[in-house]
Parts: sequence; C-alpha cells; structure tokens
Amino acid sequence: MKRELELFTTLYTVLVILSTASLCLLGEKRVDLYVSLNILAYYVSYALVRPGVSGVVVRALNAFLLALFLIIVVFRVYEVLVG
Amino acid sequence: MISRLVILGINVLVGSLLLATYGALVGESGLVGVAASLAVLGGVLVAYGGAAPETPQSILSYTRTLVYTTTSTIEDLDLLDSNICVVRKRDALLVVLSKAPCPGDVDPGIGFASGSPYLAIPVDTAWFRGRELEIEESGASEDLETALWSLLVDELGLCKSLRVELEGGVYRVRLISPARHMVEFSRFPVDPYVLFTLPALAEVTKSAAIRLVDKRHSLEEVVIVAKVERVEEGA
Repeated sequence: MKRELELFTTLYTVLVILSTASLCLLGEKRVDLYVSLNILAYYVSYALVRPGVSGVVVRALNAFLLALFLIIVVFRVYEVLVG
Repeated sequence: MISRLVILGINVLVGSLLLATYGALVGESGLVGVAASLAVLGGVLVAYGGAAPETPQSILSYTRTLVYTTTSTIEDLDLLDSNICVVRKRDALLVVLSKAPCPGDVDPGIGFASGSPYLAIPVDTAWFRGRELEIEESGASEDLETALWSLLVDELGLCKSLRVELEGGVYRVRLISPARHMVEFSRFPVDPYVLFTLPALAEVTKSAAIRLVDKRHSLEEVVIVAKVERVEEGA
C-alpha cells in the first residue's frame, strides 16, 4: 500500500476512534454529532496527509461527505432558529 | 484496488450495521451514533481501497521511460534473444542483457564482456531499503514469498498475489493477476516483470547473480523461472 494512503487511513481511523470514544464516554445521544465529527476527522486527515488517490469514487465521496456535513449543520442552525 | 482495505471496510460496515440494529432494538441512540460513525469509516475505507491504483504512477512512468529508451539500443546491439541476469556489483544491482550466460565484469550502460556486447541497467535499490527482506539461509519458500509479496504486490502493485516454488535451486515465481497497465509493457525486450522480480529475488536471497531461465505470460499470471548463477569473471 502506498505510504501516504497508509498514513491517511491510520490517522483518520485514530481520529475517529478518539472522537467516537470521547462522545460515547460523555454519554452523547445525538447521532448527527457522531457523524459530523467523523466527517471533520476525515477532512482534517485529508488536509494533513494527501493520500494521493484520486478518481471519480473519491471525488464523489468528498462531495457526499461535504453535503452530509452541510445538511447536519443547516439542520442544527434551523433547529436553533426555530426553537 | 487494494483488496485488503476493501475487505476491512466491508467488515467495518457489517459491524456497524449489526451495532446499529442492536442500538435501535434496545433504544440506545448513542450506540446508533457510534454505528453511524463506524459506517462512515467503513465507507471511506472501501472507497479508498477501491480507488487506489494497482500500480503507483511513479512505477509506471519509470517503466515507460525505461522500456522506450532501451528497446532501440537492445535492437542495435542484437540482444533481442539475449540472456537476462541480475548481477550484484558492490552494493548495486544490475540487470544485464547479454549473449553470455551471466557476465560478471560489467558496468552500468553498454559494454563488452565474456565475448558479447551487453546492456546493464542499474536498478534503484531504494525500493528495497527499510524492508524486512532478510530470510533464513535455508531460503524457505514461505519466507521468500512473504518478502517478495511485500515488495512486488504491496509496494509496486505488479500483481494481486504471488506464489514462489523452490526446486533444486530454481525459483519459480508465479505473479497472479498481473496489473493490466504493466502487462502492456511485457511485449518489450525489457519486461518490467523480469526487471522488478529478478532484482527483488536477488536481494531477498542475497545472491551474487540470478539468471532468468524461463518466463511465460498469460492474462491470469506471469511465471518467471530463475536460477542462482555463478558469475563469469573476466572477458
């Protein structure tokens, strides 16, 4: 496996484990918080270690995760404004 | 595609699905959150495992440049039907194409040794460095297989898997499901599968010289048969 990809997957997995375990230990119940922190971990890992893998699938994944993150944020903002 | 990463991702996805089902059944939304997070992780692993190229671009560029530049030289030297062997010269490895079985007194480039012109291509041993390629003196084929797998499958992406058989000092390396971009170069006199496999074999077995005995290509596999040789000194 390419070293950059190896480093990227390792960093991303470690960040996901840390964030998910922290939220779980804090007793967090909101599903969207878990997902949004995971997506943040993905983009942080991607920015720090460019995995050097491109293609339609990766571009689609990036777009999907960004869209999902935006939906979660917009939904939360909407909730605050309405509530 | 990196199948190990895809399989890992699928396993994480299945695990997250089971966890989400359990979390939903017991009404624990925290567990569903953990499962959702794991599902994203699994999806990312599957996507990257599937999108990763078989052979790194740098290897393809190196191979392309090498085969295009050496082909006319090999034709001019009348070495199309030559013997191919790898010779260790101090710390470097040279892939030598010559009519002589395995000339030892060679330098990188073109020359004349053992009564025949030769073309010696230095192999960048940077790919070997930092790898645990040391094997037992007995050269058990399992150890050899693991060491070659690390280099030829994991690092260079030449094929999806490989098998090594050792019979009376003759190594038979079967490169299964070769990368299709690399197979295209097999029609050239300097076959990349030979170019990478023989030096790797020489490095792993710590041989002074290894000669190509036979090679066979098919869509399913590339078979390279090589033998440890004594080096012919002097011309």
